[in-house]
Amino acid sequence: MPGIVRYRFRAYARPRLRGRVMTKRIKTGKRFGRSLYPGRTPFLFLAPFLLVYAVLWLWPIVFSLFLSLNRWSGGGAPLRFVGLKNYIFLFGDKDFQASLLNTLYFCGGFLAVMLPLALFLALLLNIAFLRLKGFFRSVFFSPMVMSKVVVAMIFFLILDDRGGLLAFMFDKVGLVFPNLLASKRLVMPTIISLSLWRTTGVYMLFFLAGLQGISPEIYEAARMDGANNLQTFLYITLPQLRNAAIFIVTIALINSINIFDSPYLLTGGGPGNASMTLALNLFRQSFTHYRFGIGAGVSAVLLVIILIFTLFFLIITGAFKMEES
Amino acid sequence: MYQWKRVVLVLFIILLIPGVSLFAAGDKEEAAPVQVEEESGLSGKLTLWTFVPPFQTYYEKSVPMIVEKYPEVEGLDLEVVVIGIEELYDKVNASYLSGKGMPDLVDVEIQHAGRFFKPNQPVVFADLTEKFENSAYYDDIVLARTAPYTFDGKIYAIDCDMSATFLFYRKDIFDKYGIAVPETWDEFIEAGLRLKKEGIYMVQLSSGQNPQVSQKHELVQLMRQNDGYIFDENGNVVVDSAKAEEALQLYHDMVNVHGIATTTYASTTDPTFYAEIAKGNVATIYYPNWFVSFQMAGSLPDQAGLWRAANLPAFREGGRRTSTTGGTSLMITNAAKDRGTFELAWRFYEFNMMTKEGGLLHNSVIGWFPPIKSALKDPQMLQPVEYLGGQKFGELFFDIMDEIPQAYNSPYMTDAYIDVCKELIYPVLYENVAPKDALSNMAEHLEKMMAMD
Repeated sequence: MPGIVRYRFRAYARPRLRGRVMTKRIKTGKRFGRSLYPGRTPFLFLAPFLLVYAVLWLWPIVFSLFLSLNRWSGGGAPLRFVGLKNYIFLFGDKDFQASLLNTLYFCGGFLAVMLPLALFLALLLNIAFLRLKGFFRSVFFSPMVMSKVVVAMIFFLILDDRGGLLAFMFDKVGLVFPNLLASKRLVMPTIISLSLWRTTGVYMLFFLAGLQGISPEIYEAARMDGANNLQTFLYITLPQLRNAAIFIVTIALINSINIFDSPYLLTGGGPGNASMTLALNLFRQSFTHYRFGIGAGVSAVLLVIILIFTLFFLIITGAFKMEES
Repeated sequence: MYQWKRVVLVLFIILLIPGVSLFAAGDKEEAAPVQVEEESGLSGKLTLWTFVPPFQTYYEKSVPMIVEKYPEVEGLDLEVVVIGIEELYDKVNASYLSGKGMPDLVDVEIQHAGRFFKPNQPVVFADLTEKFENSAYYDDIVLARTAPYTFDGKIYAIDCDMSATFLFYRKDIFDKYGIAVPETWDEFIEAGLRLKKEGIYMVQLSSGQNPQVSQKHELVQLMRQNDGYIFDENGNVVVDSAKAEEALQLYHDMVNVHGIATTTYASTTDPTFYAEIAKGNVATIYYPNWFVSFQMAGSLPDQAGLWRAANLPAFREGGRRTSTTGGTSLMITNAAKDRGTFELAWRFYEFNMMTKEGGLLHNSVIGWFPPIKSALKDPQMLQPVEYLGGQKFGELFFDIMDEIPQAYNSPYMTDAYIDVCKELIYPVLYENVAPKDALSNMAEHLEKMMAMD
């Protein structure tokens, strides 16, 4: 019952709200020259968490932004303030340019395929008369619980153009299996496919949860009004899934912009720079070449891209308006 | 009642803040006072970090031998910690930065050594130049193997292995098709063309498609053999030389012109690297001596006895018949000086890296050939190597010992090795980039990265 919760919270936070106060204002008297209102107490209890959060999350972000304005090679080397030179270098560096384009490519390609696929699988699993739903849910979700390193090694063995499983099968029918990971044109679609295989199951479950949250009475009413399956899907199911879709797209957007494991494990960013992503570039600059300032610059760019994309998406879908109402 | 709750709440918050502060601060070590070590009555504990698991056995076995050899060493407690290669160097840096937990000795892989010698960076490792030059064993070492660990004219280590490149060939294939061991690269190509007709590749090379793991060794060995390497002794970029171009052209021609080489993207630690070799489709491979015991024997056990070793074909008659790539060395950290264990660490180092006994122990445990002349001449080194069909592999070293090229290192070696795949191998093999242009691109990129610092 959202109304009561909201009302109760507002009363708690603002004990002097006219006419609607339900909680008793606690008379605490004065300590150290001022009273402790009950409204501040929750934040005091949150203080330990906020302290740890600030130290382990907020501080690294602030330091990283500061580091991006410096040159630092780690160890005991001094920081050298260089202003925006790291960013000037990055945007003129062909490795960074390639990583930016590849990241956007991956993000767009992944979302374009994952969303309809996850929705389709969720719709299938939501069919009333389908048996063994639990089994299929487990099957679709199981790639997600596998170690990323193990998955990458398995894909290596499958995709290897000489001794791999697919090469063997192609050879048996007299065909030559292409070296997907050596092709600048095919390497990113291959990595996108791996990510789709691995993560679509999770997003399918989110869609499924959304579908199961739709009241059956709405569908009944629609059927009584003569709506067919397509109309039901377009005018009832999709709008009702809006909240779930916003959540899924936001999470998928953030995860896909941060893509690191597949390019690192499968291709090392190659061939050339064809599968280099921003996160991999960040790793290489910081932990291979020990250029932490440049790496911090890449991380700042990543942060800005994620913020822009996420905010843009939330604005155009009206998520903020929905929350206010 | 409410008053007591407030008291408890305030007390809780007051106690929390110092509690968290203590937790965050940890048990920071106080800086140990610098101790002046006596050179007698040495005893204590040494901590050594390595990324090579078999090295742990070797180091531990050397401890009683050290105590016996050095009268001034009264006791040595060695703790060897094996850490993954990437994590190892991050931990070294983190230890240095925090001032806590720094080991006395660290195994450093040749490619990663340069990381610790970037401009403006305090040096983590001890300068051993004076120790080397004053050592009784200085004249017995192959001095060329200190080049990869020499920065700004200071010697920090010597490699633990000769890392001399040889041509490993399938004797059964050569005998079957009447192929003689080639002495020049032209002869190598001719032999390759004959084997090509039989459906066999003469050699396997790297495709360079994965800059992170694809091998750079095959091309780097050719460049070094032909004196066309990436850096000179002063750390200047010299990769865009005519000799480097000749090496890269040969590499390209073996794959794309003559078709005598097959390629793989895999690392030598990846089973797929050996797929074609295991099928018997590859007649030769050229790698340093460490490749046999370290990787080949374990990855191709069914081919034991089929392989032999020979000198690397030369670029021209009378030219260099070997090269070098890869290597590992032990380095003493400056933390050992700070905590007064430097002299003990030096004895440990000198025994393992410079003495004949240490070299022979290394060979018996690891199977490598240390850069110690007296050890190389020992009958132990001339033992038949079972994997190579009983060949006395050690005999080959005497012939080429003085021809091993200097393996100059650089703080930008990690950039260079990524570029070998990204700017040289892959574009030249698969994108029709001319070797001269590829080398020029690489030189430009490296100089740009060096200018950053």
